[in-house]
Amino acid sequence: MLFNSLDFALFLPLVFGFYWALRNYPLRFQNAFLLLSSYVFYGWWDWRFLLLIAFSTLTDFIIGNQLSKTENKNSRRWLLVLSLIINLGILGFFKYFNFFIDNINGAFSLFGCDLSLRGLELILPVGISFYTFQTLSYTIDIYNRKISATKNIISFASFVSFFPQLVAGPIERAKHLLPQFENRRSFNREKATDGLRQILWGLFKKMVIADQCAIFVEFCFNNPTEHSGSTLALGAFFFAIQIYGDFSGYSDIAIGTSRLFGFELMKNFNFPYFSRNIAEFWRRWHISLSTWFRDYVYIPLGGSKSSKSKVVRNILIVFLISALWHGANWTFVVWGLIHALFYIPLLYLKSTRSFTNTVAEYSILPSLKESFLMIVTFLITTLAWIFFRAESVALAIEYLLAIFSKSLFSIPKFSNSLASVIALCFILFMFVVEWLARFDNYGLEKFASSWKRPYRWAFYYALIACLLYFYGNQQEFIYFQF
Amino acid sequence: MKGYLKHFFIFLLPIAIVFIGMEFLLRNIPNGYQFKSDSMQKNIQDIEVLILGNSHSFYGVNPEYLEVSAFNLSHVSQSLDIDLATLHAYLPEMNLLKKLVLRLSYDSLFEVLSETDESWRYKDYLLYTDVDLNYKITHYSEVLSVSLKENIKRLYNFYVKNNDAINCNIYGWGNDANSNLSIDLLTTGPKVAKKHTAKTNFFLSQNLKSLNDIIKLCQQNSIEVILVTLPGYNSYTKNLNEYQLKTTIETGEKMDKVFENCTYLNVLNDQRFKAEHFFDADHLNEKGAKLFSEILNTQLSQ
Repeated sequence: MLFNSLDFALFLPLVFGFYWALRNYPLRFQNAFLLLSSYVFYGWWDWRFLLLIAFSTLTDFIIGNQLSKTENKNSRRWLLVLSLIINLGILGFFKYFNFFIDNINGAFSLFGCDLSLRGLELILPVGISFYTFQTLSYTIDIYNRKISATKNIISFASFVSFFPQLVAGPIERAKHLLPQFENRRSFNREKATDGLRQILWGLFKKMVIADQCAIFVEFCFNNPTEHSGSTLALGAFFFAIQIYGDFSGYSDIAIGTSRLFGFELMKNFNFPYFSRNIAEFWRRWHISLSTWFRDYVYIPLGGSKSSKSKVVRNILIVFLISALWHGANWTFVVWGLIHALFYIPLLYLKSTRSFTNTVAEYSILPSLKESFLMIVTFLITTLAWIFFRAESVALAIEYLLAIFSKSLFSIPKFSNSLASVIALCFILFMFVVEWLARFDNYGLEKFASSWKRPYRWAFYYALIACLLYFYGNQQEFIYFQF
Repeated sequence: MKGYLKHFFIFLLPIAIVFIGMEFLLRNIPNGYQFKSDSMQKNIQDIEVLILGNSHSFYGVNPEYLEVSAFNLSHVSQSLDIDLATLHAYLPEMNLLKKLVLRLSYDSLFEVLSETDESWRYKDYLLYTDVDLNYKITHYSEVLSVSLKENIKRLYNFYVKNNDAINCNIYGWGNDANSNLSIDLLTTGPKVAKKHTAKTNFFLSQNLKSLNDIIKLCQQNSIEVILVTLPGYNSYTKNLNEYQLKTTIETGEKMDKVFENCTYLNVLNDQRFKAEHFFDADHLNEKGAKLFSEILNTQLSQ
């Protein structure tokens, strides 16, 4: 069930109504209802996916409880290994099996040996990378004695499958989200209103910004050789905006929806395109995944408290795993390497934590230096996104070469130029709102909230009109495929 | 909680009013589906030849040039499963029906409407025809099926510019692809061929079943089926996928052999059709429709 679908527009109020109708009953009723709703939400794609998530849930619930019962180091280690094998095994099988086979075939064909191993016709279960990482963090945290195992299977299953963030995050930690299932939630009007506002902003970013950009992105990436360098450069810019609008929009809807049910999810995006270097970008982009890798890969490898060469190695490993997490394709590996390439020099310059504050902290507009740094960072990320979007590394290179041609200085040409100008106006509007909100949690948190009700509502109606105006061109969320 | 819900409903009220108003206005715009359904119902007892299919037959077969009473019930992007549902819906009332002309296009066996970008057309069947289809709940509403942008255009075209959305004549032939508006044949050919080429043969078995069911249903009712592959301009036909085209043609030939009540007419590369007969690379214009309908008429009279 997509957030930007009518199915969800009917599903959400129904679940909301029943959920709060159960508020005077024992907590387990509300949790059981949330679990049921989450399974309906997930099973809407394909009911067979439910078998996998139920299996992962049961596995980690049992292993978590076994871990908390035993003090024997060896047993604990084996239990953790078992959890890792099962979870990563399922993920690896569905996500990387065919990639692996293709590469074996490719490698052998280099030596003239035609293995012709056949891949399997697998359907990648939606959101498998997200909930696998969420359940893994639970087991690892119990192993590290950071949390204790829950005895309540309903709470745990609800935590794993919580529908707002099930298919594309934020990837929550048990320490943060699980206790919220184990404590009574009370309805909070301000929180719920704020949640609705955040959903509205998320939908705007997805349906108005990302889905409009998608049209031009497809136009450019489908036949890069047919377009001028300037058109392709604008196409790459549109993709940078599309993926941001798409994914941060999803996160806003997820966080807003959770707030309607009395839950608080972690912030997943913190206006990443206002970053002044790549290190800052990664503190602001897909925060739940970056911190996951920091806590469960980077730090266990030694983090930054090792020699320079080891830190570089750790960084490379994290970017490589992060790249492969996004998909089984060499394009993602190159995307990760480009980021690593721009990140590693910052280590040597000791600049990874140069910008821990928010840009233009004491002024309305950024300084020239800040503007320059933001533009450079944005250009680097946009360059890397070309590899992320292209179907193969060769096509990405072809796209890049086509950009850097004489026609780079011509006027960009799209099949519908007016629509591209309208899209650019909406993008500008989004950036203005987000710039003003750069100290807040999301774009609309305070924007317009101090206006008188008629103006405020008129503004919201205008946003809704935009959503409806572009409804019908809706596309799936990009991050669902991961 | 009550206060919150009250405010929320007050907030939604203007949206609901606009929604209902738009739905009412949109449904009152005369459209091809409604018009065809009504025209069909008027003469349903007299129809001897029924034409079913997608835009190829919608624009390519003009019943005016057929010597018997005929009706073209093709619609743009109509797939075989909908042809079957259409036949089920109208067959009980068609007492004189003797022949069914069914297009077998290059994409017919490889696509179903519900899985294409045109799936919003389901609402036209559900709202304006007697065809019983089971699809998404959104397709019971004009507003929810099409983007606001398109709906505003439709409202403007009808209520301001007074242009209705009826794109066919009283015999169901699509008359809005005329030669004055013809589109560049050379550039559209490869593009449309690519669009019509399926990435997988996922829907092949489903479509073969629908095709078999249609022919069997006709057999049970003593109705002859004429499968037709309509002409395409060479910029289109040259760019078709060999496997997909071969599968299509072989299926037509197989049906011709297997079923006594079925014949197959393939004029995809018929040299009688020149550039002047095409609206675009895969659709005939009014001249092309006349020529093809005359060829079909000869076939029907055999």
